[in-house]
Amino acid sequence: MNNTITVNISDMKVAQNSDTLVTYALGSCIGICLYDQIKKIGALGHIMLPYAHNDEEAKKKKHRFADTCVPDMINEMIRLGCNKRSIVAKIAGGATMFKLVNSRNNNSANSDLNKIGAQNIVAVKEALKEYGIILLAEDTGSDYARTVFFDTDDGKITIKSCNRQTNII
Amino acid sequence: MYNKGDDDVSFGYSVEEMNEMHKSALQEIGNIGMGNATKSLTFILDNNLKLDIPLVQFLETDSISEFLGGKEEYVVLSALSSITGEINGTVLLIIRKGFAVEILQKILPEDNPLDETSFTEMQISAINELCNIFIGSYTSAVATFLDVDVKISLPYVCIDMLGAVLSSVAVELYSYYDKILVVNNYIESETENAFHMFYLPDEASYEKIMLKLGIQNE
Repeated sequence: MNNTITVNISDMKVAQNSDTLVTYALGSCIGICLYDQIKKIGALGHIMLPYAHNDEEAKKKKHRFADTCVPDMINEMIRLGCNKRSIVAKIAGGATMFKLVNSRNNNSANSDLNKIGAQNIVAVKEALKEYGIILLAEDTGSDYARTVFFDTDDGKITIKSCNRQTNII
Repeated sequence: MYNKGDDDVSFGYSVEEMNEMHKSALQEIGNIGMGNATKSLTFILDNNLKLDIPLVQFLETDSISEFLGGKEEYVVLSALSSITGEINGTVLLIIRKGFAVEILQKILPEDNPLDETSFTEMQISAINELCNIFIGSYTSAVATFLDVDVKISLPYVCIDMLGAVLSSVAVELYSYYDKILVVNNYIESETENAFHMFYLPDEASYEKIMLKLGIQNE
């Protein structure tokens, strides 16, 4: 009851009983929050990359990739008694963290360094769509890191960032 | 020796299993780089910087939280440059915000009082220049030591949570790798503010480095 459960990088946890799931310092990574509002069960997955490259990765590191994490989260929730039709999603992250300073021609967005955040957003949305999960809200993109608190009591996501007001979606 | 897509992608052994001479060589590289780079910083800060022996570590991309030991949300100023040429790699400078404030108080004293919540464009520009010089000094010392020709990219800068910085670097530049080799230089100032200089050579360069130093695998 009211415990805080930490989800690390490439990890996924399910919670209920008004526990809060938390994952820290999302950069290009995305925190995927799935919630069954009837059963009040929530799952938080912290993915790093959009797509698993092969079957091995898909099996051994399923929570690292958007395309393998989402179905696994759904299966876990169903296993705990959720009805897939009651599950909704909220996501946060996928930032492009690094910038070129003092550059007249600021091509940071096109650099090698800032691709994955945007790709992750696309991949997560694709996966949610593929499995028929509605995306209710998002706090994604831009250039700042996010810590996400997911309250399984009401399904609200609280997003904390440096130098910004707390955002609740 | 290592191919992307292999099961055992990059550095299939732990630091404990690493050849002792290789480890010493990497530590020496770290020392030489830092020795040169900190000369300018000591002058600016006018205090004694304590250099530890560099740590040679493997950063497992899935264990960044562990690696950071609860410090994921620390706000840091980070500057990242790519090294390309005869050897390739990444240099990542990570400065605790407190230390950045200390530096700014010395180089832009007329900006007092410093707004500790966010930096002005001028302040970011000044620190960026410093990072550029620091990274340049580090890399040129290492390149001279190894007798290699390299180019350094302009630094990319990010002021935000440490966990996000590290995970984004791992994901953007090292997504194929389970483990990233890090030469971890740690510096403490008199006021106990600190920063890290990470030098991340890629595996092909690692082999080249050992070859250049005449240290081969058995």
